[in-house]
Amino acid sequence: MTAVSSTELSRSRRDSKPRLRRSSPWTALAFLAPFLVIFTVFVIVPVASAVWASLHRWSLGLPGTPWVGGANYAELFAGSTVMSVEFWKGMKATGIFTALSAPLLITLPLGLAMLLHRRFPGRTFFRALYFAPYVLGVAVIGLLWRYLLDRQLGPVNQILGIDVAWTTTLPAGWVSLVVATLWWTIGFNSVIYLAALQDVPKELYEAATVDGAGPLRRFTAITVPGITRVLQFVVAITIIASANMYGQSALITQEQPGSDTRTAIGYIAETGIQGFDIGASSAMSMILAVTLMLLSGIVVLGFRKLGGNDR
Amino acid sequence: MSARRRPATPASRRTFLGLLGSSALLAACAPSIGAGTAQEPARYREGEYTGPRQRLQFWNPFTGGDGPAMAAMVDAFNAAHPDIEVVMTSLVADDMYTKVMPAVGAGVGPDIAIMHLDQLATFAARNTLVPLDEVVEGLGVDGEDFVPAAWDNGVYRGARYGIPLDLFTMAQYWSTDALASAGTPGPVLDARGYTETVAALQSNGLAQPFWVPPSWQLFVTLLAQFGGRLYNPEGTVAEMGSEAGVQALSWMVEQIDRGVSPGGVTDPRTPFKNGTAALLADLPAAIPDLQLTAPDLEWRVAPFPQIGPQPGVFANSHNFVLTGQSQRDADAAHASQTFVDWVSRNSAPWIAGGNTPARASVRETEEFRSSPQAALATEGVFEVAAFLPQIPGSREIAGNSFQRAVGEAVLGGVDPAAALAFAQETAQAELDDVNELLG
Repeated sequence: MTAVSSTELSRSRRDSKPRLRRSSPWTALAFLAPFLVIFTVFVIVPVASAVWASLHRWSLGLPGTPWVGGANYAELFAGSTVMSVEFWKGMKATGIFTALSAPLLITLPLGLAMLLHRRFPGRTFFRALYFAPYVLGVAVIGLLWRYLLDRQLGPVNQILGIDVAWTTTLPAGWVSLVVATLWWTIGFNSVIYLAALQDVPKELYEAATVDGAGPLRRFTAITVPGITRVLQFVVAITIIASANMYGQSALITQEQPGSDTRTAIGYIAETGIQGFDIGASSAMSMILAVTLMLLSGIVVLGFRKLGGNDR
Repeated sequence: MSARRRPATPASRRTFLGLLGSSALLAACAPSIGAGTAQEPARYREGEYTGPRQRLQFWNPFTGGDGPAMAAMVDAFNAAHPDIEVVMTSLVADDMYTKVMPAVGAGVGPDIAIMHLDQLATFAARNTLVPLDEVVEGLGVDGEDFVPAAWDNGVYRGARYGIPLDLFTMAQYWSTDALASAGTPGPVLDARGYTETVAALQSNGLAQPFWVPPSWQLFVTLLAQFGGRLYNPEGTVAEMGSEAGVQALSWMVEQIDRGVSPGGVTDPRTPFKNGTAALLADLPAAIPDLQLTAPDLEWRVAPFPQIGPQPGVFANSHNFVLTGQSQRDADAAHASQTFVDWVSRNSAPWIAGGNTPARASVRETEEFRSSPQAALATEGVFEVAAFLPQIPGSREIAGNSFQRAVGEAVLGGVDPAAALAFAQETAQAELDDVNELLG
């Protein structure tokens, strides 16, 4: 429809005023420009400055900022300095958190979305309820969980009748961080899944039921293929979000015990903002960013291999 | 979904480039924090400030029991100076040191601040602070009234940046009841006295009388007593891995190995408060804490005993500094000078914070003589006080080197010699970096 009508339109316009082209490439660019400007100012320029900074030895405020090429990277990869040891410890903590939280944040919301997709009284209420924590800021949920999990005063230990140092020991610390994050963000992925489930044609389920497919078969043969694209999106953004975790460990466990739950972002912030070491912290950010790009690439390739009902 | 609209005149290349150009111009207006130019020294201004009302921002790291004492001094100043309003903000030290440079750069930071002595070089090198030589000369403050070591250490690269408010040193606290009933009333004076006291306490039923945390201030104290130092005086060579350093750190680990202290201690005050331990090595900040949270405990405080072959004690000091922001105009600069001078001279309420006033005139007051920390304010202590040297980025270097080594050896069971060797290597590399960037 659209294609036909606009062709007609442009033809008729060309007949009357042949010099005015409707589809000047500059028109498209002008409409894209506002976003392009924002994207340039807030993404491209900062990333480029970070790359530039990572190639210098640069301590904020000190007069000398000599070019050192890849020395910051070489130092981090050599793993022999305190900074590199602590950075990779942070990367490991990030990896542990991602490995623990991402699978739960990908699977549980799907189950929740399928429940909320069914018809039952109070459905809208429950949809809102599960999404509600997501609207809270990280500072709010951080303080909330720190109180809930406090060893002496926290309701969690009191209700369960146990004595666990949820925020100052391992592995309890990881359990705390994963559970709090799960509670906080489960609603977001659920809403995305819910939207995807509503796009799967009902007739397919009816046909499958008629053909004698059970619930499990319907899930693997219709639901999963029907939402593959969304699943890929959820997997990718969940991994990225988990790998960028900072606030929870800063507020709930306060990076304890020692600095064992300090994530890569936590150490980057400490190095750059507290220690003024812009060069090294930029190099760390780049390493984290490239790692995430590679992971996202693997996710995309993995889903491409899986196929799905792509047109 | 296609809404048919009359297409507007298509954009030309010129309009597009015009749009692009104007947005680039906007982007170029973004502020930036770079290395500023070196600060002009603050000029001395005659007398107390009078004139249009000035509002000054005053930041300090007094978030504990010392906060109310400083607030009382600020209130007294404001009451006595109707033309000046000082607004005090207390921040956790780490946060304050993180925020102060960008905040001052943007003109929304403090005009006056309290910084630890070992932080002066860090912020002087980054042009956050202004030299105070002319101001102290004009005010007639020449160090005569101050503890010499604290006064002399406020200089970086030939310029004075700090006026000491107080000083604080490593101290020993003991439970008077526990030591008396063991037959060894405190204080502990030396290594032999320490061994005897610990043995007496242990045979009196207190298995672990002295809990050793990974306290780097304790390490610096012992380092000085064994004849070592962290850096050379020029701040170019790291020396913490010396024989003295290994002896100092080994002594701390030994207390755990011999069972005098349990392992994994991070909070030694709690066992001291509840009687599980009878000896405590801590800074004077423990004084208001003990008074407040353990009112029933009978305790005393004295200088830390001489464990090594020579006397020595970790020391640090809170200093008044003026930031570049305070020099934005003559009136603000004059009002800031007035505040620092007045509070420095009227610092008696500060005694309640547990620290030792840097001025002899304040230490001579009856109020100070009757305070617990008066026991720490002896000429002997002042003479052997080991202050950290003025090195830009000193806290980053410390955190990555000797502080880390103390933690690894005391909590992680790493061999003291190995931990300190690595610390010295790290500190040296970071010192070299900083000295290179300073140009």
